[in-house]
Amino acid sequence: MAQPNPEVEPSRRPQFSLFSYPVVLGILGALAIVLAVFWGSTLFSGRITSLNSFDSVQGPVVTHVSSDAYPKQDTLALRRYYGLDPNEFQNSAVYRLSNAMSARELVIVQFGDRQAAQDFESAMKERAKSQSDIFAGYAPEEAQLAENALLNVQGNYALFYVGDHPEQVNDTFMESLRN
Amino acid sequence: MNFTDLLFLFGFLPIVWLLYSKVKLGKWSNLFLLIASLIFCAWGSGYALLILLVVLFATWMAVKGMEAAPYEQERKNILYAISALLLLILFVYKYLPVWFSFLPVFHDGTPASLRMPAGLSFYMFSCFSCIFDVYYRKAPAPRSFVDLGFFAAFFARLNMGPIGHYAREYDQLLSHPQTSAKNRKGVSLFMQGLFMKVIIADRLSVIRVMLEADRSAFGALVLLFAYAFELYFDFAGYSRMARGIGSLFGFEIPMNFDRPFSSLSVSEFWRRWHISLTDWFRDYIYIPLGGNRVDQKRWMLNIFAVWGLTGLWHGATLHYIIWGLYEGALIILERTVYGESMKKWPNALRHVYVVITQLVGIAIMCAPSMGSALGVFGRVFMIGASSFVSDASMFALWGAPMIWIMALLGLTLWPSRIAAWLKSKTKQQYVYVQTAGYGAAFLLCLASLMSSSAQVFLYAAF
Repeated sequence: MAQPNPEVEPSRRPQFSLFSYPVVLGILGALAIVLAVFWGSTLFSGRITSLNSFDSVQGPVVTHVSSDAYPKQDTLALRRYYGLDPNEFQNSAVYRLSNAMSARELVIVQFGDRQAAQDFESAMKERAKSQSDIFAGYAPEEAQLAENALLNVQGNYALFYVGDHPEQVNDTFMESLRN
Repeated sequence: MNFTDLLFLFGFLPIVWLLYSKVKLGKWSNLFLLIASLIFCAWGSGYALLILLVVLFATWMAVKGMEAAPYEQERKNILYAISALLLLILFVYKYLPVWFSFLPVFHDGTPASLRMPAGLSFYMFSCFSCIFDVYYRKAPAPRSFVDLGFFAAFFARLNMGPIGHYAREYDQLLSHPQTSAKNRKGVSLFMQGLFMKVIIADRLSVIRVMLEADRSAFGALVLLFAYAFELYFDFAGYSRMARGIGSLFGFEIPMNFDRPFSSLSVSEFWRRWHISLTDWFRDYIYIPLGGNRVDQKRWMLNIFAVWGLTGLWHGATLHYIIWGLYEGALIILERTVYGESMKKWPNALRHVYVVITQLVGIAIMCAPSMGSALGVFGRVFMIGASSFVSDASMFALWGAPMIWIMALLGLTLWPSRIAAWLKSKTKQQYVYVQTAGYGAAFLLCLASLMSSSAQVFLYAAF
């Protein structure tokens, strides 16, 4: 049987009080829900680690670029253009013209460790900045493209894109990781 | 913001103290100190302030609800609800990033919104103290949210405690007038704490860092002493500064360290080291579990439970729990196996026993992992050591003799004895001697702080 609190007689209990039992439990419950939503949104907004094969990620992304403006380069292009070691990555693909007159390029890599992701991220940031600086003097449109370069590093895939459709390319990339 | 930041020393603290002293705040004094404490908290990060306010608000609702509830079952349900909520917050910020580090969100480190706010473990335990004391009717609920906020989040103890004991401090929440005696005591304690932290602990930290790369047996031994003494002077120094700040605002914060290395047993050591935490576990976990009024098997279980939780409070990784169980095992052994015979040992031997067992304990706690702690112990006994002695280890010991001498003296009653002797010799002039002493110590600390050699507070990590 419930024991009454000697300090508060039930008969004198107020009808509504901010500190009444149901209000207190309700507020504590509401706080827990608000916190859970806040934490949940942070916890599940992390980077995606995709189980999809490299081809199934690369294929849909490449459909957004023309093969004339973005011809595929050999694997050593990663070292040649960006100073990265291709062996650091499980798979990689570089699409760009061989001449230096165009800022347009597309790079997709798959990696297995955090160091590779960090190396890619810093190399691509450096690349976007240097390309923007180089083109700024004589090709402002290309410089603008380089300045708006898309860099998206996920759990085991990363994308670097310089071109006219960064939003579409990014959406397709994310979708292909999730599918 | 830290107590050793120049912004705190020359900006925040003097401004808050001057306003508090010169403006007649009357019944608004706790509100003023709460606002100052919230600014102090927000200086670190906005998230930290948000979490602090959530914890305080939830605690406030719960204790007022418990006080108003007419039935025991309702009080108990509120206790369960608030405990679950606060433990959930502690879990998410302290344990989740470690135990669930495989989640993609933690791949590049903990995101800002999930980083543990400074002082969370400390102010949350102060809130729990208030909740349990109100639940067990040891004290009435705080008069207002402001009183609760001031009790749990007072900037003097927000970052690293000492953990507040609500029932014992209740009267002070109602009134804590400033007096010139409290101001003098506050300045003395603050200066002593600053000296312990900046001059002794931070210098020992340099020695410790130097010896971490050393692979000699003697280097490992000196490293263990440097570890232990640094941790003591760092945290005891901070606690003394916190007590000093409290005193400057008329609030008496109880002693958190009482020369633990002069103890004659491990049980005594833990009555003198981080007193506010051991008191908390004794009052709210150990005694409700039955304390020592139970049979021996149950008592041992209680001790392991309390010390396992103490380890877990310090950190989420395995070596903290092993450290807690190690301390618990020593206390059990003292009571059941060699406690009686120990009383016949010479005091010097008992001191050696305490120092050795605690060097081992502190090394387990402070090392980055259990493996690295075992590596240090192994090297002391020449297992995995490159040589018996090295240049670095000799330099660490003899290169800074004043630091070691001050550290050893600081562990004893000698500083108090020297002060008493000076007082008896100088009589009326003692106040000038004291002022000159603290002035010189402050300048020395300031020079050290400005040279950027100051280190972060170690216990802030917990």
